[in-house]
Amino acid sequence: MIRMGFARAHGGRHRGTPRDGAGGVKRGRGRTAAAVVAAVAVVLVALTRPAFAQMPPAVAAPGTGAEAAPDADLQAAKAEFETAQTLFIRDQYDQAAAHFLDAFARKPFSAFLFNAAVSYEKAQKLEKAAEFFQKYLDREPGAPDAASVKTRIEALRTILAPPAMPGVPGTTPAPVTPSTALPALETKGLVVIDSKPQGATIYLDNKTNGVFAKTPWQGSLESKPVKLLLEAKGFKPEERSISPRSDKLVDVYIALSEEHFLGWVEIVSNVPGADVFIDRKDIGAIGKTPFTGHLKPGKHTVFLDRIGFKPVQQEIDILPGTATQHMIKLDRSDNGWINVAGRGAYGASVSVDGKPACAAPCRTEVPPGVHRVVVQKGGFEDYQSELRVDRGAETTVEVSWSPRPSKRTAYVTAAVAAAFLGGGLYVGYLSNQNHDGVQSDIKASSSGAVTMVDSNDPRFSRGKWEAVGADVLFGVAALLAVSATVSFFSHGPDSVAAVDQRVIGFGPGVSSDGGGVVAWGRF
Amino acid sequence: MGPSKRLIMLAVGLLCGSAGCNWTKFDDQAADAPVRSIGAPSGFDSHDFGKSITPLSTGRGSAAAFVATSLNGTHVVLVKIDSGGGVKTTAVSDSALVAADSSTITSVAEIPGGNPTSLLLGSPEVRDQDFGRVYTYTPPDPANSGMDDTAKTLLIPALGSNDSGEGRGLTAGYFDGVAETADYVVGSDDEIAVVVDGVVANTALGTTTVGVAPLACDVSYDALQDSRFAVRRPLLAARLWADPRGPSVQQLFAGAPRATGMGTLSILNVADGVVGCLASVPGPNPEFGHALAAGDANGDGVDDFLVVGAPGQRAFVYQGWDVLVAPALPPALAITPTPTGVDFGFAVAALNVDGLDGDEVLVSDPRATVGGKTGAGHVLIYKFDQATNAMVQVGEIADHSPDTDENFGYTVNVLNFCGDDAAVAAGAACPRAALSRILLVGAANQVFVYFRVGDHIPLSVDQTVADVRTP
Repeated sequence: MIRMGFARAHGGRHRGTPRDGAGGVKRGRGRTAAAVVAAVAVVLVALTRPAFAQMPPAVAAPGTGAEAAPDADLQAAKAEFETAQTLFIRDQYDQAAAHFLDAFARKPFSAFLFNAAVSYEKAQKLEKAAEFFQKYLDREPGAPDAASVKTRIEALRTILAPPAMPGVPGTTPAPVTPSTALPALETKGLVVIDSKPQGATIYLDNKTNGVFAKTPWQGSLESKPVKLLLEAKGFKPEERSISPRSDKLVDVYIALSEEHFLGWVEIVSNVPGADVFIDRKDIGAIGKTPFTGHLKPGKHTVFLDRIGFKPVQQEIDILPGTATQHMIKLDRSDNGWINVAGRGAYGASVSVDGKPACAAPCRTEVPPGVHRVVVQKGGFEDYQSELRVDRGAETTVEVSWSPRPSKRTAYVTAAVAAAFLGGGLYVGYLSNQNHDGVQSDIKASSSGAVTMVDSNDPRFSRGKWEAVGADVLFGVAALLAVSATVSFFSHGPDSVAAVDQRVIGFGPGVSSDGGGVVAWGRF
Repeated sequence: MGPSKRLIMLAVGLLCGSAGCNWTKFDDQAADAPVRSIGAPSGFDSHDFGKSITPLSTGRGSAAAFVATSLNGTHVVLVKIDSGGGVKTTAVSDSALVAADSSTITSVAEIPGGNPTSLLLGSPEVRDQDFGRVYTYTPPDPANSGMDDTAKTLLIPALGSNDSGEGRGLTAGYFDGVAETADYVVGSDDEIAVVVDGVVANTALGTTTVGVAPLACDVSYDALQDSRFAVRRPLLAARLWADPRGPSVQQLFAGAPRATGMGTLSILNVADGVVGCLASVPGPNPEFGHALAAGDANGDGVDDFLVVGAPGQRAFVYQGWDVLVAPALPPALAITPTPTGVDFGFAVAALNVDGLDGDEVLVSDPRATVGGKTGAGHVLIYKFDQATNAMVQVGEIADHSPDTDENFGYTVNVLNFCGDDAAVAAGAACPRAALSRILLVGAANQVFVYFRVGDHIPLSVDQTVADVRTP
């Protein structure tokens, strides 16, 4: 039922064209009753829109974006247009003009009048040409080429009624061929965009170019490919690519399908700009307040986060095919914030008062007061400091990381120290061997051997120097061990940070431009 | 070394590593070594140190002392050994020896009886001259800082002023029965002069010579023999025959090696100021008589045997003098080493090394191969075996770490060691109980002092050894 109403409204729109050609007028009269019915249907549809949110899904007629509109007049007009273009190419301009006017009779698109005028001009029927140019202007006074068409009409009329030649009364100058007096003129292509429902917003290429028109729309476009985007509230957006040509009538009809299985929701807060999370916060915000969009039917948890305010969460229930608005109030927070930011913050971990807080770059909320903040990052010295955080203030920490010295030197030094220690132990072992050997021989001397150890026995000096060498090696090993230990526990310069604190607040404000929320800060 | 011992050593090493190695323990250990090795002091010809050693009767303020001279220069060193075995060497200054005119001093003799005792320094080849000289020298005494410690030329009128080789042999003793004053003997190449009772003035009183035919003893000396044997003329004062003039009267033993012919040993005495020939002992080889020593075989405190070295061949022991009357000679007991040595008999000594009564005979071969080192040298110990009536080797003394051409045993001497520090400090005679006789073995460049020989070194394995340094 809704679909029928839209179709009739589409047809009724062309009802208000008092200067249509004869054929067009004739066909238009025959459809007056249908147009009236369509107009009533449009009104009914308009009246039903406020209740759309409460319309049960089963009532809404299902539609598909690919469904074509069954407009016989348009198809007939299109056929006439293409026939006219074929005749025009064959220089059969009179017949071409007649078919353009037949097309206009089917669909009163002003481009048909323009093309008929061009055909008459080519057929040297300048009066008819001027007449249909004029009809074109009457129908499209604001057309982009209105000025040039007007100039052409004047030129044609000058040709048709030239001034008398001076000195030769009653003489008529030879007619001027328009093709030699006027610039060449081509026929116009035509693009017709319509949708179900009508009134859908048309964007060209992308939405950043702004709204182009609303359906239904007909007119000429540049002869290059273009993407059409159509959106209507309660319907799925659709897009289509077309390639307009000067000798073609491109007919685009898009039936938008209703998003009857989702619910339309609008979330607003007393403080705009709050991050909106639905059900889960870990996947990130889906938008900022005021937020509008479709949600699956069922219960949802809405989280609102806004710096300076206490986080809020609220349960909402979405019904299919409904549109609801939720107003969520944000209260100003009593806490402060520590914000670890900066280019090098990625990959750092933040702990506050000895407890893990967040992974930088991040902001963590803390009670007002002095807090011990430690920011750690692999390969760099820690940043740690006592930071004072005031109520409602954000303390921003931008850490300049100091690289942590490599432990390779410590390990190498320790290995060398171990080598020296091993060498010392070995040489000391040799020294003790000498000592014990000499001692054994001295004892053997006591038992009667006459080959006795003398004070100049080379083992004394050898053992002595081995002992000295062992002690030197031990000393070097000890020094290296100390060096390795110091290197192992040594730190580079502490990482430092630029700390900035600012107080941020929001409140209602009124100015000459109107009322709203005012953000203020003390830096 | 077994694995367990290695682990223990490793553990000791680890402990050493944790606490550091004490290198001073090696110094302590060296100081406690039973043998003290004394090297040449700075400035001394190290190649000669140990080749000319003269033991002193007292330590001159220490437990023991000896004098070392150089065979190639005017170097005289006084070495003192304290009761703990510590060694102090004092070089006699060139200014003190200026009289020697840089001539080599190859022989030294101590004149006993004085306090301090004086030394005779023999320089048989005065520089640029064809005669020798003898000097008297008294080493400095710490208790007498004002004494004259310069060497003085000693002229022996009986030898004339230009006697060839004068001072090649020196010894001192008691030859005429007067014990208060020592007599001394100066040998030249052809003569021996005995100075009786210390009269050294330009008088011939008490001075005589022996060696003019047809006297029985030929004391001439052959300077053409191997230089190794010609350096010093062997002279020994010892009492082997009982002299009716008194228990202290000694005989003089003079060895005379030769380049050709057989070496001889002359036994002389001094009577009424005249040197007489008691006996002449022909040797079996030219080097016979190069080394002389007397010892006490039965431990009764009286010398009763004589050792005569015949380098390159053998050594001979003459024992049993106490039952003989001069000029009767005891039979010779030849000592032949096995294997045959090189210079066996180069130096001889008599010292109790087995701890039993009586001295053993020590004969050195400084050119023997020991431990595979040629010329390392050693000293062999012999004892009389009544069962075989022969000298039997009972031991060997050698360097623990011998070196090639070390010439261990170039000199072998017995040194008095007084273990009574109080007596030493007071300058008194050493109590008999504290007096030890220790072995002094000279090598080419060092002197070995054996603190565990003499009465303190038993050769039996099961006997405990005491160190002369042990109080």
